Amino acid sequence: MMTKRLKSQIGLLGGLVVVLIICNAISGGRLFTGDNIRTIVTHAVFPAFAAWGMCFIFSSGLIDLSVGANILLSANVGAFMGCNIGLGYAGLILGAVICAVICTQLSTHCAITLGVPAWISGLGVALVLEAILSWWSNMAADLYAEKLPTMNAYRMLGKMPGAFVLLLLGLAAAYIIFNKTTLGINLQAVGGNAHVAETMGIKIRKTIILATVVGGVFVGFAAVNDISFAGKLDCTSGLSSLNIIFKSLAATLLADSIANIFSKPVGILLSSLAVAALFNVLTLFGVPSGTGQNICLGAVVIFCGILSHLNCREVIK
Amino acid sequence: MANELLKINHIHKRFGVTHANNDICMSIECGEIRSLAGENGSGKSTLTGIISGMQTFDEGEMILNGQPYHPENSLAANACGVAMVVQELGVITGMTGAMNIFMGKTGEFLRFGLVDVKAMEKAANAIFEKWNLPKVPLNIPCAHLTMEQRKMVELARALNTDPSLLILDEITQSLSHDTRSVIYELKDRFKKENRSMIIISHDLEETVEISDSVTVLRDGEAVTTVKNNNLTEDDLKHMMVGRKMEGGYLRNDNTPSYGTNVLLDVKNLSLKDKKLEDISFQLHEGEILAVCGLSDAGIHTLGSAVFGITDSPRTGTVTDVKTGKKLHKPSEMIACKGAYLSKNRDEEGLMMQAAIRDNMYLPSAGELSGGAGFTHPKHIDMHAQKAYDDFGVKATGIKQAIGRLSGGNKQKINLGRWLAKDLNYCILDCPTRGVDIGVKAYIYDVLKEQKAKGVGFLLITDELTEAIGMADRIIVLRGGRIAGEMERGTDFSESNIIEVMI
Repeated sequence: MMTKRLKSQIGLLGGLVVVLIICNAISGGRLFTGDNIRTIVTHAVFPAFAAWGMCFIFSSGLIDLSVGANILLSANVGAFMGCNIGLGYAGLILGAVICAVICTQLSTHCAITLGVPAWISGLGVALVLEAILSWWSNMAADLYAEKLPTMNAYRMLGKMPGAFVLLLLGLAAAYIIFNKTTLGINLQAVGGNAHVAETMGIKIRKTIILATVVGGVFVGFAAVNDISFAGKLDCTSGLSSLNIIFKSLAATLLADSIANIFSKPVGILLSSLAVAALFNVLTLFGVPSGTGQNICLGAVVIFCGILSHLNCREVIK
Repeated sequence: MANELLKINHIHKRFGVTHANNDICMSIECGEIRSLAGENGSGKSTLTGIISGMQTFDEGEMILNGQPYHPENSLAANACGVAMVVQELGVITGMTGAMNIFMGKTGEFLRFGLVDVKAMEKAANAIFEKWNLPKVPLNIPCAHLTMEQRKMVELARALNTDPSLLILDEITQSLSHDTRSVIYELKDRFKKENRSMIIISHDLEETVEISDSVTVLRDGEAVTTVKNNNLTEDDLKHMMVGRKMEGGYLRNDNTPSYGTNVLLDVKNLSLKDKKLEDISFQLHEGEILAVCGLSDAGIHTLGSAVFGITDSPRTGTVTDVKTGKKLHKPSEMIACKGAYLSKNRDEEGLMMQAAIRDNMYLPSAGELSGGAGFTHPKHIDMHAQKAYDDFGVKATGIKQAIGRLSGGNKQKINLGRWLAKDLNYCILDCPTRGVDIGVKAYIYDVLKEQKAKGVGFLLITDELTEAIGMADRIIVLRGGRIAGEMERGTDFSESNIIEVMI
């Protein structure tokens, strides 16, 4: 017999497909072309990885907004190790992942060791990371006559089919770690109510640190995908790194709102695809990318935020 | 004594200047069901917290099974065979029942480094079967479970440790009459298996009925431990509050007494999800109209639905008769001098991080603000201080954060801040839940006083004694519908009400 959860899953997916079919009809069949679908999937990879990273970080109760700056810095560190030092893909991945984990830990420890509220420490760390990137950019200009490293030779993970494989591997890893490991289950408990979790013998600090390490790894892969996709990333300042994580934030919030229907990692994948499809549709409909699409992005973030809090319940006494 | 399970010798526990447990001595035998009785703030929860390892003591010693016992945390207590279901904990709604039960112990289900969720669910179901607990779906997030099912998950979590001493802190207060039988059966089984229980319940009738002995705490001290040989509720009340307190805190008249003017008219109220169907009643001036029913009858849903908070679309009408206005949302009822006290006081009633002053001020913000919307802090202080004094709140002052107060004092503030206003009617959902007999008597006095002033009360209650003792009329819900209505002095009796309920 079909469970209520399965019915909800089918209903939600069915609704999404219907909306896409309507959009396809309106756009004169341009949405469902093979090339366009590949574009949508490729554009969903980065927000999905960043959102999986956020999922592990945010679920521990830390709203860390330094993820954007972390991605930019880690991507450039990865590119430097891959191209300039000549370590290839191994250097790219190791450089980005290690840098992302270190940056995440910096932010995490500011919050849990110093007791600074996570969103404040996250913004502080974001400013610091942006400053480091800017400083490094100037140094790179002196050393290599180019402001930041370029990735032209190592772009397989930003294009199809490499990006798609990366997406599937990311989904499998996020799903298994979140739902099938002691760390994931403990993390859900800590995020649900740290007091209850502690009473049940869960080590809160250890869980948060391990979860943010895992989050950092996903953020690192987001960085790998980002620089592989773009070839080169500029440095930012004044917290403009926040711009690059808004789609991921929307995906995270949307996944939260459907957490009772789909497990969060699966919800994030679906949400990332939906957000990527939304922007694709907006482009097909001729909505200007600089202004109109940003308005839609803002509306999507707010909408997702509202949805995610509709059934907001924590511990029930 | 060979049969002694736990001995507590001269335990002291201080929180700053508060001496929460002062030289407590008591012992519990194997197979004994012990109740702890005492007013809110008497030190019961501190004592059980110490026994269950959730708190440490400052001085004294505990001996469990003849061995020194000093658990540093609840896991250490569990390992020694002591488990507790705490009123303040709960389940994490985003996780399944099985995950909640094995929280912190998922390592037991690791296969190749991954948690075998199916095996965990199977083991969780086995606990329910072993202890004969009512079936609960354990593979879905607890957000989908009812309050009672969640309590069963909590109970299973404690029973999973196979305890020789189980402590239940006010668990029955969250359960309906029919589900309480699960606890009573568990108690019988514990006795039979020579296991022990410590039960805290503010329902004195229940306390007297189920326990072998009662330890009474007052102001942090264990004043006496008595065997339950013909112990009466009045004896217990006397011992708890230190003065003679017979059953007279409820109404002693036997006829309904309320005005003819209708304050609130509810007609054909239904919810789309069928939790309520075709409910109609009128609340009169100076009337206490009680609502009773079993756990799934919808009595609590009725309170929130009349107030205008519903998960499902509402049909039918709720009319404030004085103004003729149809009420759809809380702000409209409040504007018509109506109020609602949720059963879930800590989550839906009070701002737990805020000061008493701010909680007192909130419902009266409109009245206290000046012409340009500015509210003078002095006026807020005066208003809060008056309510604080009038309702006899015990705290360090109006600036104290509400979260650290005892349940009774929280409830005094919760109720007092509304009654400080000039109300026409008020919906009270279990107003005496989790409060001691002293606060309960106080709340009943306040209700009687307000009733005399013409305020109408819709009193939703799980306690039949309260309904019979306070109401002018009782409506009984069954399956979301009104199954019966009774008037004071005619057919008010527990047996009559239960007959309609089931």
